[in-house]
Formats: sequence, C-alpha cells, structure tokens
Amino acid sequence: MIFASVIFLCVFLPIFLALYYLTPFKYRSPLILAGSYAFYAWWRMDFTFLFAGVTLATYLISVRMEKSATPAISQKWLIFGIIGNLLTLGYFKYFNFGVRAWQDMTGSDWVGWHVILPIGVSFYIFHCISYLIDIHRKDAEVAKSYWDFAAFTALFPHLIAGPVLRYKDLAWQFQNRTHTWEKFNEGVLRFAMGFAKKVLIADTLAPLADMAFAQANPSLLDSWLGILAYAAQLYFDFSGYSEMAVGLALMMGFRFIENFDAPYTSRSITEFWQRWHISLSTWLRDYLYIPLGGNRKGAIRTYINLFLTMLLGGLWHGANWTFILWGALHGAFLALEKLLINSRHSRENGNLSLNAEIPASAGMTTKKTNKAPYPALLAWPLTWLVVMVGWVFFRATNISTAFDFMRGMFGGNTLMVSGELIWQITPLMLATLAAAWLIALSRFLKAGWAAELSLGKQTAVMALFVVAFCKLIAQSHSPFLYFQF
Amino acid sequence: MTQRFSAYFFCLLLLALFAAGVVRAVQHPLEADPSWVDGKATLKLEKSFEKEQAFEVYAKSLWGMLNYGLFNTTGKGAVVGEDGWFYTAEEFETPKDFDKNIADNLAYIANVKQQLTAKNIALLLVIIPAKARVYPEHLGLKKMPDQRQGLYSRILRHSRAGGNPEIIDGLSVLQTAKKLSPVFMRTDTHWTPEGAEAMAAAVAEQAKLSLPSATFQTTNGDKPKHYSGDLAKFSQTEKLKSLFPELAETRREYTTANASEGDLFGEAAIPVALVGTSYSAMSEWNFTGFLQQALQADVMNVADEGGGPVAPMRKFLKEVLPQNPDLKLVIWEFPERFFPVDYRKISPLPLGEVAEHSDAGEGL
Repeated sequence: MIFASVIFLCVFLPIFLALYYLTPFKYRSPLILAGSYAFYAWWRMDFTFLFAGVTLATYLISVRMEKSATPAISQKWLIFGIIGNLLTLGYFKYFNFGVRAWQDMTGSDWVGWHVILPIGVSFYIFHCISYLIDIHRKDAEVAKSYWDFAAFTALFPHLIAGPVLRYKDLAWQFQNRTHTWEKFNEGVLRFAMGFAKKVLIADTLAPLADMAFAQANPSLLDSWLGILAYAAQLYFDFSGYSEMAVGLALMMGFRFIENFDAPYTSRSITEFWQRWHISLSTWLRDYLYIPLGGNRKGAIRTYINLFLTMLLGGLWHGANWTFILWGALHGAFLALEKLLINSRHSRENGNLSLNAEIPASAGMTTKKTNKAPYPALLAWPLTWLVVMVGWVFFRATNISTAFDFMRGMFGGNTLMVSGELIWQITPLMLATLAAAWLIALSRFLKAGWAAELSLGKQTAVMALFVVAFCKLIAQSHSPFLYFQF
Repeated sequence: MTQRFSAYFFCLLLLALFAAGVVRAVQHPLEADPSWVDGKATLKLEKSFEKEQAFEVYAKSLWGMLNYGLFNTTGKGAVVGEDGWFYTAEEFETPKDFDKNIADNLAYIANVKQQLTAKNIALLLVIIPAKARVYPEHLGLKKMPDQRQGLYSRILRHSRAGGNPEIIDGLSVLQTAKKLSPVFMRTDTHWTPEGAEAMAAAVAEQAKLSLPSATFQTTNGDKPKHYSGDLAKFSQTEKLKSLFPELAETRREYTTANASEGDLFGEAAIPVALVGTSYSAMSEWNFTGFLQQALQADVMNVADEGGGPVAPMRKFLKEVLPQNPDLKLVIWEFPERFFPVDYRKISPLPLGEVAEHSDAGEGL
C-alpha cells in the first residue's frame, strides 16, 4: 500500500485515524503497531513476520545489553545485534547482486535462488542498529515498553521510505505527545503538499525521464531533458513522500525531523548532504563516519573515511555497481572539498602540513557550510553538475548505459531532440519541468511553513491536493522511487 | 478557526471517500485471490477496489478539463495536433523488432496470396495510410519518428515486387480525395465516409474482374450527425466535454441497399469478401456499402474491430473461405500503422503461416 493510492485514502487512513482518536492514549502504541503491520502486510504477509521478528530480536538484545553484568558483555550483545541486523539486510538485499558478481568474476553458471527484497528493509534495519548503538553509547535508554519500540520501528508514516529516525528522538513522544486541531491541521497541509509534489510533479516527469533513458544513443537535448526530468522526479518523489510522512505523523501527534532543505541550491557536495535526505546523511555520520574515526585521525584518514562512508551509502541505496559508483563520486568530492578547505585553512594559518589539526567545523556537521570550498561563481554550477552526473549513475541500469547517456549529455551524439521522443513530449511535461526547477532552485517551502498559514494559502494547498487526487484517479499510479530501497 | 480549516476539510473529504468506498464495495463484489500470504490477494483486491468508484468519472473529468484545457495534453494513446486534430499514438510508436515485424507481416501477406491464388481467388490489398501522413499540416511541432516516416514507401516498394498481391496505394487516393472533402475524421482514428467512398472507387477501378452483378444504391442522411471520435476520449473530459466544442464534429450517414434484392429463386453466391479492421467493420464509414456500389456486386464483410488486420484474415481463411468456394475476390484492408506490430504476441501463428525470418526483409 502506498500513500498516493485510492485504498489508502478511502479505507486505511479514515479507519486508522478514527480508531486512533477513539482509543485511549495508553493503548495507542499497540494500535499503531497493529495498524502499521496491517499496512505492511498489505504488501506481503510473510515478510511482515520477518519484520516483526527483527524488531523483537533487536528489542530482546537491547534488554540483554541493559542487564549485562559488565560493559564487555554488553558490547558483545551489541556486536551480535549489529551483525544480525546487517546479515539480514545483506541476505535480502545483496544476495542476488552477489550471485551476479560471482558469475561475472568467475564465469560460473551457478544461479543460486532468487531472493525477494522486502520493502523498507534498508530503513527498519537502520532504525534497529541505531537503537542498539545509542543504548551502548548511553545516548538512549532501553525502551520501557516493547509496544513503544515496536510501534516506533513499524510506525507506518516512516516505515517504507523513511525518514531514517532514531528511537531516542521519538521515545519521549511515545509517552508525551500532544494532539491538537492545530497540529492536525499542520499535518494535513504537509500531507497534502507532499501528495501534490508526488502526483502532480514527480509522476508527470517520470515518463519523460524514462523515454530519454530508454534511448540507445540519446542526443544532447534528449539527455539533458532526461536528466533534468529525472533529477526533478527524484527530488519531488522523495521529498513529497517525506513530506507526507511528516504530515501523517503530525496527524498522530508525532513531530519528525525534516528530510530535505532545498538541496539543489547547494554550493558544495558537503552542503548537498546537509540538505538531501538529511536523516540518512546524519545517520551515516553518526553510525559509520564517526566510528570509522571521523576527522579525529588526521587529514588522510578523514578523506578515506568520507570516501568509504559515501561508498557504503551508495551501496545502501541499491545492489548495483551504478549505486556504488554514485557513492564513490560523492565520496570523492566530499574528500576533495575537505582537502580544499584544509588547504585554505592551512594557508590562512600558515600551516602547510596535510596532517595538521583539522578544526571541528571542517568535519561532517549539521550546520550548513558557510564557506564553500569553490570560488563563489563556480560553486553552485559545479555542485549542480556533479549532482546531475551522479544521478545518471543512480538512474542507469548499468555502468555501460550510464556512460552512453553521458556521451549524449556532453555532445558525443546528435544535437536535437530525437524523433522517437519529440512526439511524446507534451506541454504538460514541459510546464511541469519548468515549474519543478523554479521551485527546486528557490527556498520556497521553508521549515515550519505549514504552521500559521493564511486561509487563502491553505485553500490553495487543499485545491492542489484535490487536483492531484483527480490526476491519480485519471492515471495509473506509479510507486515511490525509494521503495526499491 | 483558520488553523483548523484544512483539518476540517480533510476530515470531511476522508469521510466522503470512505463512504464512496463502502458504497463501491457493497454494489460491486470485490475480486480477491486465494493467496493472501504473498500479497496477490491484496493486490487484486486493491485493483478491483479502484475500479467503478462513484467519484471516478468526476475526478477524471476535472483532471481532463485541466490537463486538456490548460496544457492541450491528453492521456496516453493520442497525439494532439493543432486546430482540434487528434492522431493515434500507434502511428508514431516504434516498437521493439520494428523491421523484423514488418518483414514477417509482409511475408504473411505473400503467404495469404499464395493460399488464395491456389483457389483462383484474387487478392487486393488496400493499404490505409497513417492519418498523420495524409494530414501532416495539423501536426504542429509533432512529427513521426524517422523509422515511421519511411514506412509507407517501404511497404509500397515491397508490395509491388513479384509474388505479392495487387495493392491500392491508399495514400495517393486519399491525398487526391482530400481536396474535395475531408477524408479522415478530426477526432477519430478512422476515415470519413467520403474517404471510404474514394477508396472504394479506387478498388473498383483496379479490380477489373467479371463479377456477378447486382444493383446497389447509396443514399445519405439529410442532416449531418453529431459525432465525437475515439481519440477525443483520451481528453478524459467526459462530464465536462461540453466545455470543449472542438472535441465534437459531424459526419454524414450513408446507407447502401441492394436494389435487386427480393429474387424468388434462392440467393446468389457472394463473390467478394472484405477482410479488415474497424475501418471496414464499423457501419459509420459504410465502406462495405461503397464497395458494393462501386463494384456493383455483393460484398461479404468479415472485418473485425480491435484486433488488427491479421486476426480477421486468419479467421476468414479458417472458417469463412471453406464455406464460400465461389468467392472471386478478397479485399484486405490493412492500415499502415499495423505493419510493425508483432501479431504473434496477440495470437501465435502456427508454423508455415509466416516465413522463418523472412527474406522479404532484404531489400526493404
């Protein structure tokens, strides 16, 4: 089941919200759990048992960690929990990829067996791992109630495609959240806007991106139309989904973190990752980059840690060499930017050693980077270009196709829009593409926009929602792109 | 109150949608699948639930009005030109195995000719050109892909080679006829009755067979009839169609009657069979009637709508031909846009009906 579907709007959401508000507060966590499992089981009941099993096992391990006689034993439980979760993720997500890679490397014809990828597995495994690590670090306490923890991992707004949340950030809300009409109103507006982003923008641009990427030898205009469409589709699909998740959570009194903040306005890749999929980048910082050593072990090690973190971040997105290459590209640029900032800092402080102490502000921080590593005029166009090139790998089915597409982008094929494409491009697609980029390159919807909105603007948002709903009915729905993760 | 407006509106909307869902579930049984564990049952249930919702036609109409009204865009399946002209997307598509499918279909046509020649039956192939080829002036910025641009001349060139049936160059016929009256409907995939009449006259001129004569007379209706074509449906404006007058047009109604009907001594065998698609099957265009008038001979219509030109021919060869040994002429109407279609995907042909990757592909 997805949010932008008739069954969700006509059946699941009305019934769930009605039951939620009729249920006394102390029973709401079990209700959230039951509703969320029903939401997940709508896809497949068998994998719901897997999900429930992972949740229960993680919780039991956290209890063992708390009750361990010594920190060393607690740490063993932690390692057991992390390995167990990673093995689960590894098997379901990477087994098929591993078989293909084995065949390619050895020429073997062993095909193994096909493993189905459970939807949301990448997200719920990360939720469980962060929970265990936070307990070990004493950043969080073991959940007082299993129902609260299970409801947290299953909470359907973020279950399938994030944001990647931490139990410690929501724990207090499971016990103490408020429910007001104003909060519900804010949630409705966030949900409506996210729905409109997904259906009116992302779904309209999807066919344009698909057509362009299907060309064997795309022309210059084919490929640029295609990548502009895809970059916008991905942003509005994913940020739309995240916005719907934030909205649905608000309707239940929960406040999630924001996941996007005008990422295409970034002036460096470092800044990009402070604006794109913020919940993932901070998760990678806290649970991968910092344990690897972060920026505490000298400059060279910092660059390696940045590169490795993004390489694995790329792999998290999908079981394909293209995602690894995408991660490597971003990792390389993060490292390069760190080098440039370090060099500038060294020159400014008269210290030319590469292994000089690096100021804390030069690491992966949550504060937006004020000093772009590139000259002012170059910063935005260069960053934007790197991001677009990266999306080619993200979208292409294999590396060869990605390079074929880029050949078109950089003038290696013909110039004009190809005949196979031109008759399919509609005025609606072009208008939507233009509007999408105008919105994406502005800081149009700032954090907190939906609170205290005027009546006129609220009417406009609800009208957009109604139009989007009508479009959903008129055309078959397309699934969220991040579902494959 | 302002900060509750959207909340109230949304709750009312959800209530209305839920009520519509309940009504839908009660009025039409939902379809499910016995397999609940692996998600098949819920998927089928969901797809079943989405159909026939009470709000469906209104939602589609509102979106259609905005999409077509503001952006001159329709649903997938139609290409919107200028001046209210619509074209079917099938005339622009370049499916996989484009060349191979053309070669296979040409080989099948040659095979059909052989079968009919063996029974002393002449075959006349009427190639109906793409509407976008006859009326390119209304395409605007849209144009056919290169592969499609050259398709008609390829077919003509191949068909004029030996061993192939006689053909009617439908493009020449309709380009000449369009100077006198429209030959394609503006909002429909099909030709006008006047276009069908011009083609029937060309068939009669080329047929030159001695056919048992009959007297047919065609009359046309007094008033043009209001008509909204199949392509206009892609605008999805439905309940709001009246806002867009260009989505409707008129057509004349023609009727052809056999003036020599009523003989007391049995029925004469019908000498001509018409096989084809909706261009022939639909009575709106009166192609059968015009052929009867032009040939002054009875014509048996075995055309079929919706399956392309190959399936009706297969059915004709298998079921109709054995029952009609006195046939003299088969007219096979074959729209240009169907040549690149792989009919094996629609209904697999037995071995022998299509040459194994055709030599007909060479030299095209």
